Amino acid sequence: MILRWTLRNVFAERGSLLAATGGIAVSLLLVLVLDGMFAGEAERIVAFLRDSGADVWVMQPGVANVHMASSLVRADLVADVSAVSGVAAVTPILYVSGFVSAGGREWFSYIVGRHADDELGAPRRMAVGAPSARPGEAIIPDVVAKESGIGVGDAVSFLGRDFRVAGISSGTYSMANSVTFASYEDLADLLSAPNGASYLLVKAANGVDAKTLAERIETAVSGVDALPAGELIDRDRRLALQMGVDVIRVMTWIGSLVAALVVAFTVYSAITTRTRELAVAKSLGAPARSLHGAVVLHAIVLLSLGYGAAGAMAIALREVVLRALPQIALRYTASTLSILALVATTLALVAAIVPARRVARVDPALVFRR
Amino acid sequence: MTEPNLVRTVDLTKTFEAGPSTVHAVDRVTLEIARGELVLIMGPSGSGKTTLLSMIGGLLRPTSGRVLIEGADVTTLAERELASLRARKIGFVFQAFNLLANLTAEENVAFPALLVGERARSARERARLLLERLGLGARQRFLPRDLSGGEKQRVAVARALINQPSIILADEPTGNLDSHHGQEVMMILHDIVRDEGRAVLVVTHDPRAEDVADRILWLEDGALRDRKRDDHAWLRDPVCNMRVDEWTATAFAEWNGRRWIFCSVRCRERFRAEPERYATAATAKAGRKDSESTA
Repeated sequence: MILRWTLRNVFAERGSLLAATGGIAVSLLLVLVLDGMFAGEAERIVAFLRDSGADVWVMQPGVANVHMASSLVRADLVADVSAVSGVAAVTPILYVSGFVSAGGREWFSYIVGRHADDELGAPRRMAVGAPSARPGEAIIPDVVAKESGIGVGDAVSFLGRDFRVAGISSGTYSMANSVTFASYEDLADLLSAPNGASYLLVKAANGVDAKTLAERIETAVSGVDALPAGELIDRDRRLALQMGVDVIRVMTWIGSLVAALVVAFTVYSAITTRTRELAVAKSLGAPARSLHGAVVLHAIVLLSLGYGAAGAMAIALREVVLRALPQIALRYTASTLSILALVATTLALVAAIVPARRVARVDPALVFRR
Repeated sequence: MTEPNLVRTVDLTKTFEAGPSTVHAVDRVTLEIARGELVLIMGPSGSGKTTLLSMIGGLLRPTSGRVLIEGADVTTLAERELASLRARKIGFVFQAFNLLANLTAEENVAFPALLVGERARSARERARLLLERLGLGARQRFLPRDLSGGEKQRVAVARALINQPSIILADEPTGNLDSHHGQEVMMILHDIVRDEGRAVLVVTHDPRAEDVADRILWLEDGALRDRKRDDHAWLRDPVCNMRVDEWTATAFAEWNGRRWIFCSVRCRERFRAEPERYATAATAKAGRKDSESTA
C-alpha cells in the first residue's frame, strides 16, 4: 500500500511531476552535455594520431608529443627502422603547425605532409574527394570546408602558398586543432627539409607488442626516440586538455554543482510538499521504516524519470549538434553516465533525508492543523 | 482481570520552553476513560486540548506523567511499538479529515489495516463494508476531492474503525462541517460507543456535541476539571433572552436567592434596574416552555 500510495502521489499531480522531472532532467543534461563536449573534444584532439594506423612513432630525441611540438629526423632512417625485427611498414611524415586560410577565415591546423601512396597517416574517412594530396593539392577537414563554404576544387592557402582542395576528410577537426594534409614534396619544399622527416610512423608486424618494438627501435637506431602510439596519444591528450579544454572542465564542474543543487532542491521540495500526508500516515500507525521507504521511493522515482529524460534529450541533442554544429563533438561515456547516476542518486537520497527525519519526529501540530 | 479504564492518564504534563519562560501546555492532568464512554474535552483555544490528545495518541512524548492504554504505559514504548499501538489500538479522526489525497475512499479506509499486515483483499472488503455501514457504499471509488465534507469525515471515521481500535481520538470532528453533518458525525461516534463498547475522546468547541457526551471535561490553562452536563445547560439571559453558556459567561447577578446570568454587562445593568420585571418574565417564559415540552 505504501508503494501504491507513493506512486499515486508521484504521478497524481502531472504539473508538479513535469516540473520536478524537467528540472532534474535539464540539470543532468547540462552535466552530460558539458562532459560530453569534454570527452568528445578529448577524442577529436588525438583523432589523427589514433587513426594514423601507426603502432610506434619515431621522433627526434627529447620530443615526446605531436601537439605543439616540433621534430626533425633524417628521412633516410626509414631504411634503418624498417630493418628492425618486428617492423612491418614505415612511413615518414612531415608535420608543422600553422594557419590555413579558407573562405576568408583562418583555422589553426596541423599540416601533415605525406607521400600519396604510403600506407600510414592517411585520413581515416573521406567525406568527398581523394584521400591523398598530390603536389599543389590539400585535403581539409569537413568542418573547415563547411564553415568556410568551400569544396573540392576551391583554393586554400597555408605557409604562404595556395593549394587546390582535392578532398575533404571527416574526423580530423577539433576545437583545439584541425588536420590538413598536403603532399610530402610540397611540405618538404616549404620547410626546406628535402632530406628530413618530422616523424616516422611504424606499423608492427603481427603479434609484435608496440612497447617492445619501440624499445627495439631505440636500441637499434641511434639518434631517435620511439614511443608506442598509445603512450603518445595519452601524452598528447593530456597536453591538449591542459592547454585548452580545461575551460570545458571548469564549466563541467560548475554545471555539476548547479545540477547537484537542482536535483537536491527538486527532490527536497517534492518530498516536503508531502510532509503532512506522511505525518498523517505516521499518526495512523505507519512505522518509520515505511515512511522512510516512501520518501526514498519518491526520490528514486523522480530521479529515474529525470535521468531517463536527460538521457533521451542528450541523445536527441547529439544528433542535432552533429548536423547543426559539426565543430562540437558530444561523446557520452559509460563511466560518465554511471558516475552521474550514482552521484545524482546519492544527492537525491541526501535531499530526501531532511524531510524524512522531520517526519520521523512528526510535529503533532502538523496532523492536527486545521 | 480486564482493565476497567481503557485510557488513564496520571499527572500528565507537557511543558514547552518559550524563550526564558516555560509554558505548561498540559499540567498534571489525570483522567480515566472507561469502555463504552464518550468523553468531550472542551476549553478555550490554546488551553492544551490538542496537546493532551497528541500525548494520549502517542504522537507526543509527555514531559512527565503517564498514559496508560488498556493498562500499558504508552510513555515507555519505543517509536516502533508506538506505531504499532497507534495502528492497532487507536483510531484518529481529524477536523481537517486528513484523508490521503490520491487514494480512493476505500483505499483510505483500508490503509491502516494494511499497515498492520492484513491482506489487501480482506482489508478492502472490510473497508467496503464499513463504508456501506456509514452510508458511503456508492462513494468507495471516489477520491477525497470528489467527496463532500460530511462524506470525508465519515470516511475518516471508517478509517479510524478499520482496525477495531479500543479508543477513538477525535480532534474537532465537527469543526469543518455544517450543523447537519456535524450532528451526523457525532451520532456515528455515539453509536460506536453504544454498540461496540469502544471509548471515544472528542476535543471540541462545538456545544452541540454535548448532547451525545457521557462526560464533559473542561481544560483551561492546561489543567482539567470535571464538569457535569446538567450544570452546563444553556441558560437564557433574562433581559434579552439570548442563550448564554454559563461556563463562559462573564456577567452575573444575585437576586432573590438565585444566580442570574447575562450575555453582557449592559443586560445585567438593565436587570439590576428592574429585577422583578425581568425575573418574572423570564420565570413565566421558562414555565411556558416546560409545559410545552411536557405536553
